[in-house]
Amino acid sequence: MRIERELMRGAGPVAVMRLLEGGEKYGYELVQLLDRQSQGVLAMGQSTLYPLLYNLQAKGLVAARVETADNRRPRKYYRLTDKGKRQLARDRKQWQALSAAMGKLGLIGG
Amino acid sequence: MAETVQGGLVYKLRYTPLRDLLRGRLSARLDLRRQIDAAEISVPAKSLIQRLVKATKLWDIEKIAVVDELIAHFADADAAGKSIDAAIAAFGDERTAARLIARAKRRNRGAAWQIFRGVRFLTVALVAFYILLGIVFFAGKPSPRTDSFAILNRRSIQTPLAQRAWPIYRRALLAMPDRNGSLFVGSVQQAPIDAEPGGADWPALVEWLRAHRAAIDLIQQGSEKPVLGYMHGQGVSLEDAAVFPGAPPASGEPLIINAFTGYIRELMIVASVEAADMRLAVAEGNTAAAMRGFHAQLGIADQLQAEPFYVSQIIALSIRRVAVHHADRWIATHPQMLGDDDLQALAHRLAEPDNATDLLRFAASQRIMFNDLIQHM
Repeated sequence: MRIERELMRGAGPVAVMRLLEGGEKYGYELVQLLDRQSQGVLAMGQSTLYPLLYNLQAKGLVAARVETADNRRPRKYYRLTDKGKRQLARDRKQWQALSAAMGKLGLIGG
Repeated sequence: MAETVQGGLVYKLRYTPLRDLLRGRLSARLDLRRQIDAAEISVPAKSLIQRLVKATKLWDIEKIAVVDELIAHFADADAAGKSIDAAIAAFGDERTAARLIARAKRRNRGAAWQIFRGVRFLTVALVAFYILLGIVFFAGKPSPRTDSFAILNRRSIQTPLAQRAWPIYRRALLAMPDRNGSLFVGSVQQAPIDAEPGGADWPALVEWLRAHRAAIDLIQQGSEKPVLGYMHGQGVSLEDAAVFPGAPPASGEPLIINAFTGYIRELMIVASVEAADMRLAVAEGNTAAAMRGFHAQLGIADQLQAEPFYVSQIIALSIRRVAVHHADRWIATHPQMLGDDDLQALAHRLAEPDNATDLLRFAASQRIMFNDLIQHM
């Protein structure tokens, strides 16, 4: 199922921050996790993922470090900052409220 | 990177970022092509990365970070067993990616750059705004809705003809056809009309004053009127045409900035005549005539002071200064001519106006002139 762009614009950063909550991850790892954990619903083109990560970085919500792997190829790892954690907590509440409201309207849930 | 960098010194200097240079390292790590060529990824992926980073138009230091990340991305996709076609398809539209990456990377730039960009944007916006204003200015046609001359002339129009000074001055001026002659030519306060008793030009001046007694009396009558009553216009009125034979005719859009101000010079002349007549009266010991000359000068100054132009205010101040100077010298040199009543009359006249600021009252008329200019643009 393909999610509308506007919906994805709101959900994408929260989903990425949620994945980073579990520890630092590199770009392709995030691509795979998004695809797998959302059963493909939140799978986003990587052309969207990397700008999204750079934007989160610009806002100070995630930080990055470059580590050279065994094959001497530099790889960039992203992690959630304290500010990012606070933002994620706020976003989580909002999504829960939204989800509950949609449930009451009969849009989601049983 | 620990690998040895190939190439000459110029190459290394060209592709080494400043921060590395400052640390004494010739890393040459800004060579994007070399970085991409050296990557262990498929050729289509290399081409995509090359096109994408080129399209971002970012700084080299930013491009190299994107290159490293994308190389890692496609290498990871390859390691995960994904075909290159699938990896490229999953990557999405490279133009969109380039645009979004460039925008996001610029957001990560420092405050100095953001400020510079803001200033640059504002400058461009201002220039564009001024160009737009220029186009509107030059493309538009003026549509004046206010007759500014009517506003300037309102006071004169509302004053009965008998209470206006200018018609009387006009007669006086026409009675002095030689007022542009040699008697009035010279630098400020140095013309023969400014001659002092005993001076070389004094006899000629006295002769002239006696010959023009009627005109001088008319000036004194005019100076007693409350309003000057000169009708402002771009040119001169039919009645004034004889007074100003060389005056420009009224033509085109009537703009206050083009208003004819030649009458101010004529008023300077009549004030000079009154000052000269006052000196003659003092020299002859004629208190009443001297007093008339003194009051006439201040009357002319008062009338000019109510005129709308800045220059008229300045000339009014000058006439007032000359009158005060004459009174001052009169009291000092001929005190026997002045009784208590005369001194009291002088004191009361000199006490006007109450405030120094009343001597310069052109702000309102300057506003009218400014509005008039704007409405004609």
